[in-house]
Amino acid sequence: MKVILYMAISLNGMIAKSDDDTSWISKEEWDSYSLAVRTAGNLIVGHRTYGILTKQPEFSEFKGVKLVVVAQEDFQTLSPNHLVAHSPKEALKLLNNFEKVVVAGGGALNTSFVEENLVDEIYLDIEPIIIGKGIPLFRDKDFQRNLKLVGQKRITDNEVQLHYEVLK
Amino acid sequence: MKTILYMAISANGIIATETGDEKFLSHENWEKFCELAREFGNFVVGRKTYEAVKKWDGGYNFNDLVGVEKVIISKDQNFKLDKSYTLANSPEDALAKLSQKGFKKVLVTGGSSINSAFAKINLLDEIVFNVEPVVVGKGIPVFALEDFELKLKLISSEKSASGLLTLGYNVLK
Repeated sequence: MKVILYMAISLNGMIAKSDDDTSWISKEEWDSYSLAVRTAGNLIVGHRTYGILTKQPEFSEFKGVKLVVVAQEDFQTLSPNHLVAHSPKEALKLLNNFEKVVVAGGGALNTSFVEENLVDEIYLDIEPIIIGKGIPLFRDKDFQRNLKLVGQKRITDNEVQLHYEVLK
Repeated sequence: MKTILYMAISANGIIATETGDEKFLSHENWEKFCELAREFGNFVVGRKTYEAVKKWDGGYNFNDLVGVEKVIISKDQNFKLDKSYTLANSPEDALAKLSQKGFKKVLVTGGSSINSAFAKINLLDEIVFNVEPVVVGKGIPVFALEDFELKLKLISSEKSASGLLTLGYNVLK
């Protein structure tokens, strides 16, 4: 199983403004992300991200996607296709029949996955913006992972996608 | 006057660990900085960056940039600088001092607080980041957390053999 962290970030590494606003992320970026999720057939997110994501109209694209929410406590999800796990490892276990698994935020969940050395590849879609104060890609935890740049492409004239392999 | 912010960052926007350690930045990045500083004939950094670089070993030293105007920003106007450095008390003051010397292009290169100080009052025209192939969990962000936003236009993205990615942007004003 290959675990992919897929995120859109500002050039300075923010995934949302302080008030959770992600309206600065483009439609083209969403399409790229949506395609990655639908191709994998699954998605792992944190509890807060689940709340934000499921309110977006585009979320209807994920009808057939098996979604795992990592949360401390059980809660009633919006669909039988949405499961709850209590740790990154448990989330992966629930998806062990998939070849590729997509992890996509928020900051705390990203950090747990990288800290536990569970991420194999990272896709970063860089939006052309600097956000002074926001929610960073990773929450403050003491880790460092060396990467290998395996690809870069333009999503649009103004957005570049970086594709890294995590060196283990 | 054109102001370019030039920084090396981790893929998640960190410029140093909390203790100021920058070992995750490559030698290649330092060489690129020196090349650019010589081309511009100047650079501007904050007092903390000046002090941090002074402590570096391994042959990394601002003093090697002979003939390059080196402007250090500090609020303390009695701050004692080594010879061949110029003291400024704000971003505006740094730009005015370099403008007086006839410079049309200025290279700003950290740290976190200085970058945000320039960004907040909209003094940056271009941003060039060398993105190192690494993620760092805890550290000093490329911009100190302050309330501002810059909209950018992507100009160039260039990959080097070692996996260093240089992204160039215009700041939209």
